[in-house]
Parts: sequence; structure tokens; C-alpha cells
Amino acid sequence: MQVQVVENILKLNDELAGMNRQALRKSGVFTIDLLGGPGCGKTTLVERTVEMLSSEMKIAVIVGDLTTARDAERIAKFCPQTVQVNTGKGCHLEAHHVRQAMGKIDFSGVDLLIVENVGNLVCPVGFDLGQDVKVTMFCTTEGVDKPAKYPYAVDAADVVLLNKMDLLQYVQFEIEQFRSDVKRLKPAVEIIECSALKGDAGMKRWTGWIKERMAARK
Amino acid sequence: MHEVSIATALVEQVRRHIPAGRKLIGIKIEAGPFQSIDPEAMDMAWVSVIDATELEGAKLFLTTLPYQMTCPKCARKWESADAFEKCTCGSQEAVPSGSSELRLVSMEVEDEANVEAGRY
Ligand SMILES: Nc1nc2c(ncn2[C@@H]2O[C@H](COP(=O)(O)OP(=O)(O)OP(=O)(O)O)[C@@H](O)[C@H]2O)c(=O)[nH]1
Ligand SMILES: [Mg+2]
Ligand SMILES: [Zn+2]
Repeated sequence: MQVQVVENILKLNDELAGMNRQALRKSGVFTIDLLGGPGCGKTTLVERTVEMLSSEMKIAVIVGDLTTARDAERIAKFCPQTVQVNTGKGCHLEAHHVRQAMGKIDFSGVDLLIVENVGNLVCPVGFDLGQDVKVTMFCTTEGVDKPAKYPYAVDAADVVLLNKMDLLQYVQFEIEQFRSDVKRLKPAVEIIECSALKGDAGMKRWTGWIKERMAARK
Repeated sequence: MHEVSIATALVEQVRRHIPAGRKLIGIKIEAGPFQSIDPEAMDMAWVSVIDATELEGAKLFLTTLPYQMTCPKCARKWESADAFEKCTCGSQEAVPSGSSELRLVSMEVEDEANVEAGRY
């Protein structure tokens, strides 16, 4: 006997993410889900972002890794409200991870929550966490073909970052190809080219983008 | 790797939808190409999460849906497994869409209600 179902497989995750979203919005928190391949510079971006914005707003960070608390230790130097989530075998954060981590954060007065996902361009994309925006980060040292090979990561992004621009001159990376591949997958998406390590003009654009989005939501 | 999470979610979902006392024979799932599900990994994940449960032995049938392509030059629409496929008019700018679905479509269960002790 056949039983028709036709239901999203990640329904429970989506429902939990919806609850996170509701709770975060109620507390007036704007939430970013930051994803990108291993080592593309997510933690460096978070460090720099907190450094650049902490005089204007209160920030909390949740950081996901399979194992170790190293990223949280790095970020905690800039941001006292940092919670590490270890996913063990899980290659991405899910809504329940974020929900648990949220319980360890005092959200009074917090304006911005940045969630650094596990370094991976495939698995985190389909799991809603309750974020307001998804940010996908690529970098100049991982090769120009990554948007084409990981189209979902581009499709789901509200903004695409291209990091390690300071290394562009040392690697083979046809930046026009990168731009046109991203635009083809998502014509309207903004691309911000930056160096999280150097804190360049691109980083100003990035923090400006965050502030614009936060203002637009209020 | 996310196949394991999907399989785990599927088990929960099947348990919510299965008519009481029926044994599961198989399930059909559908995934858009953006989901990047590897069929072999999906199968292995499914077999391992149902191992030693009441669902053990049930088969998983995965259909990967194609991209819906639209060419901005000639307005042709077609389906493709490749998000960057060229249009027959030569244009390389076709836009892929509608591609991140992930759903349980149907379940095949045994016809007779199973009253064997221990199974339910
Ligand atoms: N030259 C250069 N190096 C960078 C830049 N951003 C990050 N890095 C370096 O890249 C390496 C990895 O950076 P992380 O910030 O740890 O990368 P990540 O994405 O957080 O890595 P995982 O969390 O392990 O996936 C470090 O050695 C950083 O110093 C950049 O803009 N330019
Ligand atoms: Mg990191
Ligand atoms: Zn055409």
C-alpha cells in the first residue's frame, strides 16, 4: 500500500529555526549565518568585524566546529559573549545547536549575533538556523571554480564575500570569471571583495552592509 | 556528509506518518540538484540509521530533480543536471532555478496490518 506524504524532510529543523528566529527578533537581535569552506577566513572575519563594530553595538558570537574550542578562544579575545558548539560528526550546524548555544548567551542589549558555521560549502546551506541573513564566503586561494562547484551556497546567500584579496596577485584567480559565475547563479547578489586579515576598504564595505541590513529591518 | 542528518530526519518523519502497525517496505524521496546529495552516501546513511530498528530492511528511492534553465537571450526553457549548461542558441548566460527541494514523497507499507508481537 502506498502512503502519499509530500513533506519537506527538514521540517522539524525548519520549525525549530522558526522558533529561534522569533526569539531573536523579539530580543531585537540581527543574526548572520556565516558559511564558507575550511580555512577561507571565517574566524578572521568575525574577529575583525567585532573589532570594527564593537564601539557601535553589542555583539555575540556562536561558532561551530567538529571539534576544538580554538575558534572561540580566538574570538573571545574580541568578544566576551562567544559560545563554541562542537558538532562531533556533524558537518554543519542545525537549528537545535543554535538553540542550545542561545541558552548560554545573555541577550540583553545584544544587537548582532554572528554564527560561524562549520567550514563546509555543501552541508550547512540547507539547514535554516533562524538567521536573518546568510553570508557565503569564498577566498582567492581556493580556486576560482568554487561558486560553480557549490551553486547552492551562492543561491542561498544574501551577500557573497571574496576574502584574501591581499593574496590575489600571488595566485591564479581570474576574478572576472568569479564575478560572472556568481552573477549567473544569483544575478542580484552583491559581491564584497575584502581582506579580513588586513582590514581593508572591503571590510568597511562589509561592516557597512551589516549596518544597512540592520537598519532596514528596524 | 549531510546525508546522515537527512537520513536521521527521515526516520523521525517516517515514524510520524506511518499507519500504526504497518511495516515499511520503502520510501521515495526527491531532492533538487542544489542539495548535492550523493546517492550512494544517501543509501549508506539510510541503511545505517535504520539498522536494528523496526524500519530495518526498508529501501530508499532517491530522485534527483534537474535544474530548470531559462535563457535570457532566446527565452528557451529546458531541464538540465548541469547548472552551467550552454543554451542551444550559444548563450552561456542561462539562469538555473527551482532547485533546492528536499522532500519525502511517499512510503510503501505492507498491506496487512502487522500484529506480530515485538514488531510494534
Ligand atoms: N592573507 C590572508 N590570510 C587570511 C585572510 N583571512 C584569513 N586568513 C588566514 O587564513 C587562515 C585560516 O583563517 P581562519 O579565519 O581560521 O579560517 P576559517 O574559515 O575560520 O577556518 P575553519 O573555521 O577552520 O573552517 C589563517 O591562517 C588566517 O590568518 C586574508 O584576508 N588574507
Ligand atoms: Mg573558523
Ligand atoms: Zn538561448
